[in-house]
Amino acid sequence: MSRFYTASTSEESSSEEEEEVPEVTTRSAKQFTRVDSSDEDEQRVVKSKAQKFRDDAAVQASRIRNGMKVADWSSVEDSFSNMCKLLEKSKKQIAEVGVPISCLKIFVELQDEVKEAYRSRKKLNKQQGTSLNRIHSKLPKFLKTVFNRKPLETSVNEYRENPVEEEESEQEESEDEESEEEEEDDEKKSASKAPEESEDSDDSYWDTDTSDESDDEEAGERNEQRGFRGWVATDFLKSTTQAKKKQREGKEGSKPKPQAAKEGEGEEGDEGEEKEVTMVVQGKTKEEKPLFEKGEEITYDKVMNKFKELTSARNKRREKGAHRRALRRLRNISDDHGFGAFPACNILVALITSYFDEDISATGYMDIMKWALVHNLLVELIGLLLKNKDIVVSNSTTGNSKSNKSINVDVVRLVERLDDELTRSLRNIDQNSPDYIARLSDEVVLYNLIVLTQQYSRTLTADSQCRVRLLRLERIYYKRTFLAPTPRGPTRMLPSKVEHIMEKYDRQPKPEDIHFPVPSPWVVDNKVEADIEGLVDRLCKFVYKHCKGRMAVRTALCHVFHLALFDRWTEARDLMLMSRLQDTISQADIPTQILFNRAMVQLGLCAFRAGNVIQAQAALNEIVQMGRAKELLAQGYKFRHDKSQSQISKEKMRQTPFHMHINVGLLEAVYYTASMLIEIPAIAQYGTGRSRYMNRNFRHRLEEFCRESYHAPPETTREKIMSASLAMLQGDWVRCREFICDLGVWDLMPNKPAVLTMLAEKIQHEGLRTFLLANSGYFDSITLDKLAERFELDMKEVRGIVSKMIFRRELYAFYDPMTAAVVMYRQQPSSLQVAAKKLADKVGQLLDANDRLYAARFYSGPREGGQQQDNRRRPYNRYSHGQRGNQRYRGGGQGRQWNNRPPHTGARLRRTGPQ
Amino acid sequence: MAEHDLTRQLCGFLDNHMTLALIQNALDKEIYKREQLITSKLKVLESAHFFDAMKEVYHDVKATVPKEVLEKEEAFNNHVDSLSEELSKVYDVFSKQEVIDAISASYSNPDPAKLTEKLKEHGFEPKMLDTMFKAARAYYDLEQYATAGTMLYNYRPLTSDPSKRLSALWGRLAVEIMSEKFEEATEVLGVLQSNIKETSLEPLKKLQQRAWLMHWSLFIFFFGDNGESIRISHLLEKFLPKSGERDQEKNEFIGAIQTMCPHLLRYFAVVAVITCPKRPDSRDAIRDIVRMIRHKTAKFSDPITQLLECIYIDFDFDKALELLSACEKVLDLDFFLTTYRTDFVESASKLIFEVYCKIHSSISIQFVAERLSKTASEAEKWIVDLIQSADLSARIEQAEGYVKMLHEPQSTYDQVLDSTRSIPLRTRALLDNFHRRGTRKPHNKKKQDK
Repeated sequence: MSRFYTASTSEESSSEEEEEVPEVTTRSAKQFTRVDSSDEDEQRVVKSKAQKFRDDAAVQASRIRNGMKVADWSSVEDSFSNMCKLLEKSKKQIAEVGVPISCLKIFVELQDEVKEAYRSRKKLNKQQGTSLNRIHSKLPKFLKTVFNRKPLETSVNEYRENPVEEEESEQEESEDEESEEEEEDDEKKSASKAPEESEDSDDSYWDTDTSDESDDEEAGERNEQRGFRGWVATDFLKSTTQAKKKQREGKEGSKPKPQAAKEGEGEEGDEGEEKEVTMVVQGKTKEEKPLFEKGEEITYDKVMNKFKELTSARNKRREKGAHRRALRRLRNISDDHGFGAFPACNILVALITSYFDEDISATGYMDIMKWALVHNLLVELIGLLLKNKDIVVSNSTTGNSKSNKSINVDVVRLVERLDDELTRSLRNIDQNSPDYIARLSDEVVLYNLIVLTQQYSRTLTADSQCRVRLLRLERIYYKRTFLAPTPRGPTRMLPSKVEHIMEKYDRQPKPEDIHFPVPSPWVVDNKVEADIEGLVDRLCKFVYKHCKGRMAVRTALCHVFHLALFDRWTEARDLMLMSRLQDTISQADIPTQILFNRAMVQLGLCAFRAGNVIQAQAALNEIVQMGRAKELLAQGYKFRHDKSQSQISKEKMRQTPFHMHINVGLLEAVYYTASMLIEIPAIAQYGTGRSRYMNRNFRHRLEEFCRESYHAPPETTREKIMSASLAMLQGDWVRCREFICDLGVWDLMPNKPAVLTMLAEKIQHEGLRTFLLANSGYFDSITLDKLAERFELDMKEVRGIVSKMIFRRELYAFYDPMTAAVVMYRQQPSSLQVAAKKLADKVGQLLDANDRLYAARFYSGPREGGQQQDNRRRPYNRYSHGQRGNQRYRGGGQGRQWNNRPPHTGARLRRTGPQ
Repeated sequence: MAEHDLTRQLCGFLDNHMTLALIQNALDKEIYKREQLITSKLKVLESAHFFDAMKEVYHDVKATVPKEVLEKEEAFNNHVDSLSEELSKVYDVFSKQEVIDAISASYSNPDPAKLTEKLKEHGFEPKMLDTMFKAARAYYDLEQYATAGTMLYNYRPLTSDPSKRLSALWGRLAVEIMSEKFEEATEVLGVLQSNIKETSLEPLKKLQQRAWLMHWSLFIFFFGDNGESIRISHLLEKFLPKSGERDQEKNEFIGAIQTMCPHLLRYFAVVAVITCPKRPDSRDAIRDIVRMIRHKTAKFSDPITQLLECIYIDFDFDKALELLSACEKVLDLDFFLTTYRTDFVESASKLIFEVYCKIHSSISIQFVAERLSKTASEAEKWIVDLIQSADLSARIEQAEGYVKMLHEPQSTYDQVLDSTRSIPLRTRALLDNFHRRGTRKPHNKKKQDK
């Protein structure tokens, strides 16, 4: 049988080839060692008949199971018939000992699986199908007929109905049970004691055993269940199986077993069971090395010493599970003896860190189950710490605190890690799957923990308090609407897994398998949460008061984001300006820069809603302009040839979880609409030449759009805006308004009607301006009421707008109070004057060309000037300047384009006139 | 009445002694309820250690002086007494001629450590410094401003702690202002301003200090030299950037106005409007202020800013003229601006009509006369003055009773000049760049000159 194992493993795990044990023993190292003495290799083992039968049965069972797993029904059929034969043959033994549990179990599984597969048998190919059919018909018959005295069917049904009955061993995988029974047998028979077995060989066996069952992808899963199993196991140890434990302890007392073998077993049991999630739920007990000798008086000091011993040994890699179980048992012992909270806290901390120390599986995030476990542990820990104020938690590295009740751990850091893991899993889970939503609902749970930690953190340093508050802030700052959270426990199983189980076992996992119970101190106060603005304000003020540096920066950015989200435009802008973040953000770390971009974008949206088109455009300019909004907001990434693999993976690590995304379509719509409102009058005024706030991107798009020979009805947002721009340029503001207000993306704007009203008004105003600028040449005078009628504005507004244009000399005209009309002044320049102007322009252009030429040759010279100018022109965003690590964020063509601009142009060539 | 009063806002940025002056003004003009003011006045008096004045107030309102006040008075007196003992030694040291010389010399070449060494020869002990600082404060509270001033004068070069030096400077400024030596105060103001700039402080603290500075300077600029109009324009020169000027520090001041004390806009606006006819730079200031109002970067609104808003943003002249009387009332009640009331109204109405003239092609004299409640001939004269001062060209058609504005468009000549003005400069910059590059010369170098 071990041949079978090694054969199957050799493909998957290349590890233990040399261990090929001929024809020996079951999987269990313990058994191996127990039976044979010192020699490890090639020992032929003498087995009793019963034992042999059991071994064989186990092999067949596991073959069946493997067959079922890959839906290889022909092999299942083979094994099944072998099993039948075996059972027939060993009636005698069975009469003595009863049917081995492994058999019962496999029959139950087989029944389920066959039933399941039979339903969907059409999918199978012919051969497989016939095998399945055969099993399907044979199985019930066999079960009914095989034993006359007590048909197997009844035993199987008994087992199915009451699998817990014999929880000691039955919940185990066949191998485990077997070994355990084996053990008992051994005890009964007083088999020769096995000498000590080296841990290594132990491990190697363990490897061979498990690797066939778990492929790499499931590694995480395995860990998860291991952890969880351990947890439940302690519970059981505590309550239901006391009697048995005692009994066993008694045995142990009389006949102590070799330590290594036992540990090995523990490990095995721990690792071996991961096939079936459903089984996990029920507990199991396992024999482990007792922490204290029987009869030994357990004292506080001893517990603490044991704890130290355990923690110092924790780095042995393979023993994570055993280590944790030992810790848990120690904790139970300590609790049983009433040693108080201090040892318990210590143990909890050790447990939590042991989870965090583990390598993260291939999925890139901590498993859900483990996360939930750590969460529970943390809640417990903080609960204990809250109750026991005398326990000092310090995170000084020197550890100089004199108090004998001090734990050297940074509790906040643990919570941060947990928080980080949640974000990480959200990043990795497909955002469209129900898994994401399920996982997201854990946020509430985490939030509860954070609030709890905040309550506890009062005793900690100001720095820690700030960190907790920042954690809390980062969980709420992007939320606009408040939904009262219902208390709930952490998710234990994601929907995809639930589905998987349903498919496999045809039964719905119980609700308690999907979620843990609600954590006991539920401290999220809905009243407090509902007043999110007040809450954010308080959190931020606290941090501002007590902290500086990165934390304050992040807090400020979250605050800006939040204020902007709630349409408090002036406050948000003032905070952004006051914090002077634009100057320093290029030195910040990239996650902070991303947060800055998010805040900036939100600020832009907020400015737009408030009707401050210019600011909105300025804020969004850098981020939307180059079409890299997704990248800059970490909401997606592009594969570019100049990015290395590690860069991409780093980028992936920084992604914003989906539920926090800002809609990029909306950003574009806002940006282009704002650009339209700014640029179209400018184009009308200056033509396509330079103007003050020139937005090349928009102009380019507009030119492109105009070049198209035929305009189909616009479909995309950008096309619609371009059509609107064209309409406005032609003086058709009504059509422009229709296009703009028709955009679907405005639905994403909170307070949509107000935004639309604002837009309509702006379009009227700018339409009027565009009309006057473009067409004033065709008029001698225009009466104001005609204008008012045409643009559906009232006289006062028209007068205000026209006056402003006159005052700024945008319009060379005057208002005649007698006739209530705008009188245009025009001068017809002589041809000499026209020529002179043209020459002046040409000279200017030549100079521009020189500058550009120079810039192209000596890149850096004018660049300094150009950059300076850019900085002035774009007060909001300095994102792309600065530190080397940021290169990624600087667009390939972007730098060139901006920097190519000659140093002294810009406003100089603009038509001058009194302001 | 208290709607547009700024006493409360201003007091937050002023010294106790200055606050008292403001409160007194509010009391005199009965802007607030008397009881409220009395209580706040008592508070200020207490923190300023003006116990005699407190007793007077209690006497006036016919209340007995509370016990605590007496206790505090005694404590303060004891404090002063204890100081005076130590001070005698200090006086000994600092009355020596060599010491006086050394200190005045150190102002041009500050080096606290060296100076301390030098003074030790004359019996100076480092612990005296602390005494001096405390004593200066005490004397200031006792209204012995001259003594306090000397003390601080001696103290400042000796201390090496920049924040202490800064507070010593603030003390000096307060002393000069309270003793109404505005010449010296202006000097100290300049020193303080540069010290704030140089001292490394948190940005927020700096902002705060600048806000204080602007508030304190109100005393200097509005009361110095009996309020000549040329004097108040310093307020603009000092804190607002000129057009085209990119002064980082002045931007800081603007930042401080926007974020901490938007109410100062009133003072800036009034000064800008008053000085506008005589000082062309004031127009830039007006533009800055209008920008702040338009973008709502400074959250403040009172009749004066509304007036500017009407003129320059909405071009609603009727409303602007209506607002004039409201402005008059506000100015009348304001502690600093009372004396500038008539000036402001006059300048503001000129400003309104100046903009009006720029937009309209003709103006009826009757209209002007009505709006300004003048007779037709007065209005005519007034308009002529305006046209002359505002550099406009116009002709009066007296028969039909209106003024016809003659708007000359910018000549082609000017346009060409404007567009080519920058060319020599840019060519020069290009050349300089080449020279800086040294050996590497491009093949197709071109020179451009007009």
